[in-house]
Amino acid sequence: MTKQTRMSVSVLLALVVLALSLGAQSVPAQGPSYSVWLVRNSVFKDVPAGAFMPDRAFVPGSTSPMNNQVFFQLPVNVGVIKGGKDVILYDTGWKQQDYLKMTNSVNWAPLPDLLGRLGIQAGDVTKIVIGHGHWDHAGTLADFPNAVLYVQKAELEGIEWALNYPHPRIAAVNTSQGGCARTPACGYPPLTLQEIYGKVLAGKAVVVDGTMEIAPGVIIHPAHRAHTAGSQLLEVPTTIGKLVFGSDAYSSWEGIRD
Amino acid sequence: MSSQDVSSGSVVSTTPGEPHRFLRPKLLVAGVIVLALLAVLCASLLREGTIAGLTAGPETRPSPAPARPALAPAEEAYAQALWVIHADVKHAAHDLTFSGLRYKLKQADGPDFATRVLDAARTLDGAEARVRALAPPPSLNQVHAQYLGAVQLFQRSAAEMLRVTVGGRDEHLKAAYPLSLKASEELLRVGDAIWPGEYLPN
Repeated sequence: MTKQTRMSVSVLLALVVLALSLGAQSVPAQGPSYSVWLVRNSVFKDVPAGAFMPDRAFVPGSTSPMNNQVFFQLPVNVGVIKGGKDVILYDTGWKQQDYLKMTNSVNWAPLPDLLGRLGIQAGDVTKIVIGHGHWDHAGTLADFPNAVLYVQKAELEGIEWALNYPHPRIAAVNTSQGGCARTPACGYPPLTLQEIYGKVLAGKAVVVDGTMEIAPGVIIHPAHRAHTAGSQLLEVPTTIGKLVFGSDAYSSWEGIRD
Repeated sequence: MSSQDVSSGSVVSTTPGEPHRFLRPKLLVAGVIVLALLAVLCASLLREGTIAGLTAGPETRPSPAPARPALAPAEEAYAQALWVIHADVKHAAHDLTFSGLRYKLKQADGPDFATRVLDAARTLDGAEARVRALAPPPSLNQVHAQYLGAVQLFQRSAAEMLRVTVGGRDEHLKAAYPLSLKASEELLRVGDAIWPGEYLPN
């Protein structure tokens, strides 16, 4: 295997969805456009098909391609948006540590290293929009000290709601040993919320209430009460049209189409 | 010769007057029944094989997780007992975080902030006492110490946060932050040891 091939395989700069230059000639008259990449932070192996795509739940004996797959390989992707003076991340993936191995994942690589392959240093990142605050989407905020975090007010309120809900079956923390039991806040380990709080403490956070344009043409849209209470989408203008990043608000093409 | 070669598979005919000639039709019926049962069995096995192929093929079978030694009964009992306390500790940790968040975002004033931090501190005090009361098996002494240390870090963080209400300076929040951060890492470290899979893709 050549060094180049090895790099492409192991470094996980998985998929360049679009690489649109922002040269002056390519900027349409009606507004700016941005270069956009999708970087694969890791892959969760053998995730039950129905876990993220209820319409694709496995049905024994089914011959439908929608329902005959037991597991699928779930990529953890990070959107990279570059234009003007901004480098914007949509989600930040998660960080493998000695205390957070996620042994059923493969090809994890540090996000700053992956960005380096695009010529972007961690310090260059100016803004981070998290689709939601779960640990595998907001897990590396501290690696980008200069970036301003954008999080929905409803996302924070949703976690607080669960914290204060007066019934033991609605818990803010995972109460099922050995796995998330789909309690409202089970995707938020204390460490992840600490990182969000760290951004607020450092004066590097904007709590968004609904829609907000964070750079010319780059617009946050709420997707509340979707995957989480305060999920948000990001609209980005490119030379081939608008791209919308959706995080887990849409887990399948069918979810977007339908 | 009174009968044809059985091995040929043809129907065996018997010479009239043979003593067991009336047994032949019964044997035939029994044979048919046996064959029918075998056919049902084969069909079932084929179907099972097809389903197994669907669910256990190389594309769909879950990868075996790296082998981890199972917890011994005493370890399991300790993990279960600590898990109950862990829920309260995580809740208190979140309360500390949101106290700071709301205060910084000017969604809570000083008294509100203090009330909430004090509530979390009381929960942590209780948790510390409950953790101390546990008797870990020797193999989990380090885990036990780690967890106790994490709770104490949260307690120190809460105490530091409360000083904001006295001096009104955010520096106390900043001083408290790394304590909670370190404590949160320790919770995950303990979880990795005795509650693997606490957090799943989400």
